[in-house]
Amino acid sequence: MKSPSGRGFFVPKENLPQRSDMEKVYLTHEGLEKLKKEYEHLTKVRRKEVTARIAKAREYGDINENSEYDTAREEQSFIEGRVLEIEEILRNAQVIEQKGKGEVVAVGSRVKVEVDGEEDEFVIVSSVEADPMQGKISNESPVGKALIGARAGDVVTVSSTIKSTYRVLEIN
Amino acid sequence: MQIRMEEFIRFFIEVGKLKSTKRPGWVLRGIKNPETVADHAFRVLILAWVFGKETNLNHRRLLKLALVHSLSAVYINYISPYDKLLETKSKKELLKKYPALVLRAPIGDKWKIARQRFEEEQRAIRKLTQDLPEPVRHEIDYLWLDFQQRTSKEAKFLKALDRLENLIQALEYKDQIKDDLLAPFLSQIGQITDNKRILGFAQALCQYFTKGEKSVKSRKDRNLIKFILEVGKLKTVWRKGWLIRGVKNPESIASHSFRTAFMSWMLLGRRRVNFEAIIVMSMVHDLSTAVIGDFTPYDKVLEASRDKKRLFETLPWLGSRRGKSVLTMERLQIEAKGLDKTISFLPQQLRQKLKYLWLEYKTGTSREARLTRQIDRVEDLIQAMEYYEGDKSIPVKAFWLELKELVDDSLLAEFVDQLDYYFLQQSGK
Repeated sequence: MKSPSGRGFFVPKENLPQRSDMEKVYLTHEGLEKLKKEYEHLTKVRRKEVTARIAKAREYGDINENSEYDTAREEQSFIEGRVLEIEEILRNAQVIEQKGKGEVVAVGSRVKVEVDGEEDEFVIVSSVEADPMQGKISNESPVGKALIGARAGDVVTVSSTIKSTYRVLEIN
Repeated sequence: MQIRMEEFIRFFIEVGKLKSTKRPGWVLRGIKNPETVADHAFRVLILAWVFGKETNLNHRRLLKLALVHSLSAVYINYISPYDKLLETKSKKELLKKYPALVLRAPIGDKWKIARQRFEEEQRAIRKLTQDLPEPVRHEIDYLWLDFQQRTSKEAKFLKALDRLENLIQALEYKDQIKDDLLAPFLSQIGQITDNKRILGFAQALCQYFTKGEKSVKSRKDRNLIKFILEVGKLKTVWRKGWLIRGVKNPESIASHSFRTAFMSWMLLGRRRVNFEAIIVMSMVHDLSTAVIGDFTPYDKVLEASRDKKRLFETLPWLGSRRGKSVLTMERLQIEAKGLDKTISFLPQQLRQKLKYLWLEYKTGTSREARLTRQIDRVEDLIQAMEYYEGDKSIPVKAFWLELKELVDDSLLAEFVDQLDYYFLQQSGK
C-alpha cells in the first residue's frame, strides 16, 4: 500500500518503473527438479506439437474462420507465457541446501510443530511452490515469516486478534 | 491507507448482499426458493466469456460489465422494467389476471418510468461506490452507465446476454411458471437486440425446452445449451462448509464464485496480471461441484469426530506432510473428473482454455493462480464473519488461521490485517 510514487491503492511495488532485480527465489531440490522437467517438456515437446498444429491448421485455408488455428495459437501463447515465467524463476533460483537436522528453521526446512495442541508437519518453501493443503507453506506468509529463525523447542505466536501458537518440535 | 482498505471491506460486504437478495421477478411469480441476484450475475459472467469469445468485442470490458451490471440491486430491487406500473397492493393478483400488462404500458408512461428508474438506480450506484478511491469509483460508475445507456458495443451485447440469462432461467423454472408468463422473456430479447447470434440462440433454447433437444438443429447450440444448464446447477449447490457449521440458508457456489471474481478484479485488476485469467479462474474454480457436489477438507474426519466444535477450530489439513500431499492429489483427480464432465459440451477451444486455467489454479502454477487462490480464501473469511455476526455460534477461527499460512502476497496480507481490525478489534465487535 505504501506506494512511493503516490499512485495509491493496490498497486504493488513490482508495477512501478524503478523495479529492482527480482529477488532470489528459494526452491527446494524437489521443486527445482519439477520446474526443470516442466520446462523441458514445454520447450522440447509441447512447443513443437503446437507449432505443428498451427502449420497444419494454416493448410485448412482462411485463418480468419479457422477455430483450430485459434485454439493452437492460444495454446501457444499459454505455453510461451509459462516458459517465460519458469525462465525467470530459474534465473533467480537458489536451491536450498538440505543438511540433515537443522538448528534453525529456514526455507527448505521440514518442520514438525504443535499448533494449539495438535501436531502438524510442513515444509517452508518460497512463494512459487507454496500450497498449505499439500504441506508447503510460503516463507512470505505470516506463519512462514514467524517460524523462520526459530529453533526446536521455541514457541512462536502469529500475532493477530485470533492467535495461533506454533511450538517447534523438530526441524529437518 | 488504513481508511482506504476499510472502504473496500465495507464495499465488498455491500456487494455480498447480492448473494442473499432473491430476484423479485421470480418471487412475484411464485417460484420457491429462487435464485439470487449474484447467482444471476454469475451466469451472465459465464455467458459473457463464452459468447464474447465468438466476437471481436473487447473481452475485458465485457467481463467487467457483467460484474457491474446488477450492482444497483444492493439497494434497489425492482421486479421488472414495468414494476412501477404495478404499484397496486396486490401485484401478484394483477399479474395473474393480466399477464400481458407488464408489456403494454402506454408509451408516454414507459419513458417516464424508465427515466425515474434510471435515476433511482444511479443514486444507488453512487451511494455504493462513494467512498471508494476515485479511479475505482469512476470505473464502476462509468461501466454501469455504459451498460444502462448501451453506449458501447460491449454494453449492447451484454444487455442482450443479461436478457438471455433471464430467458434461460425462466425456461428452467418453466414447470413453476405459467406458459403465458414465459412469452415476455422471449419478446424482451427481440426488443433489446438485433444480434442474429443471440436471437438464434434464444430460439434454439425455446425449442430445446418445448420440443426436446433433438429439435435443435445446430449441434453447437445444442451442446452450448447443455453446458449452460450444467453451469446453472451451481445456483443450487449450497456450500457445504457453511452447512456443516450450522449456517441456515447458506450461499450457493454460484454466488460465492461471483463475489470471488468481483474481488479478484478489485484487488488484483490493477496489477501486472492477466485479467482474463484471474476472472476465469475465479468463476470456474468450483465448477466441478455441478457434477460431484461440494466438499470440505473436513469431510474425511467429520464422521469420526466427536467434538465438531473443536474440529472446526483447527485447520483441516493437520497431519503429516506426505499424507496431505496424497489427499490433495486424490481430491484433484476426483475434481478433474467432475470438471471434465461439466465442461464436456463446451466447444473444444473454450474447453481446453478453461481446463488449462482450472488446472493452473488448482496446482498453483502461475502467479495469477496463486493470487486468485488467496482471494478465494479471503472471500470465504469475509463471508464467515458475515454469518458469524448474525449467529455467534458459527465457528470462524480456522478461517483466520488458514489465511496466516496461505496469504503471502504483501498487499493481501495487509488486507487481511485490516479485516482483522475491522471485524475483531473495532469497538463493539
